[in-house]
Amino acid sequence: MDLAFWLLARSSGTGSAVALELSLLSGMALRTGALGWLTHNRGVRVLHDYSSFLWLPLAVVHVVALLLDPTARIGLADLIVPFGTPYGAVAIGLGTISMQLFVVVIVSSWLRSRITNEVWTALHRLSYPAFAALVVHTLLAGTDFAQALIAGLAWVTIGALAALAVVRVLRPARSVKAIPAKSR
Amino acid sequence: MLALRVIATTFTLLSFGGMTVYAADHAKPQNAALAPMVTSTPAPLPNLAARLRLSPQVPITRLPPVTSTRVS
Repeated sequence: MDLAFWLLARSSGTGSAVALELSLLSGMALRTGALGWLTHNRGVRVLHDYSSFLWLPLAVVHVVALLLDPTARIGLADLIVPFGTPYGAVAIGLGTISMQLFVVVIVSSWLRSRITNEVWTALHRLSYPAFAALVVHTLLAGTDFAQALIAGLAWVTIGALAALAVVRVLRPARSVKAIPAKSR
Repeated sequence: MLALRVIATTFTLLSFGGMTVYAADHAKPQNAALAPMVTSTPAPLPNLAARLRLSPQVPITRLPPVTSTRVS
């Protein structure tokens, strides 16, 4: 049973990370047009919204499985206070930081109609440091990064997202196909 | 729109399922990048029944090998 929770934590963490990468990719593609060859902006928007239904449940499973895994020895307090675990404090703490930032991002998206656009934008941009923390978390704590195939796929994805982030920062938002605020 | 959702779901589930299969084949805890520290505090002694179960299984009915024969 111990190994079952450990196995579930690994697989749900990987699945959640992949879905999060899709979310970031589609989110940045909304402004850069990077997925213009695939679909129009509305389709990218649908993909961005839908991906949260994929990564969020898997992230919850990842956290719950680690809480239930007696070997991992991660308690509820570690979900609130990072860097408090007796081992791998930085690696696990960065996962906690990432989770907390993504919670802020997802809650702010749910409250989108009740907050101003500036506040929502500022909170939504927390997904960048959240993803950076997630990458370091997976590099330091990921069990399977020693495998060449998994590490290779991860680095290709991370590199592509980093390149898109640079394009996103350097290039101003597309004015022609920008999504109206009402439909966001 | 539906095709995009199907593609995203397929990617995610393939990652989840693929890692489940892979992790099941590599499920040994010593593969973990991180492992909880081993504490120096000795584990508490189990109760009597458990201690009896944990004791070495010495076959008490086993006889020592015969090394000599007696000639009458």
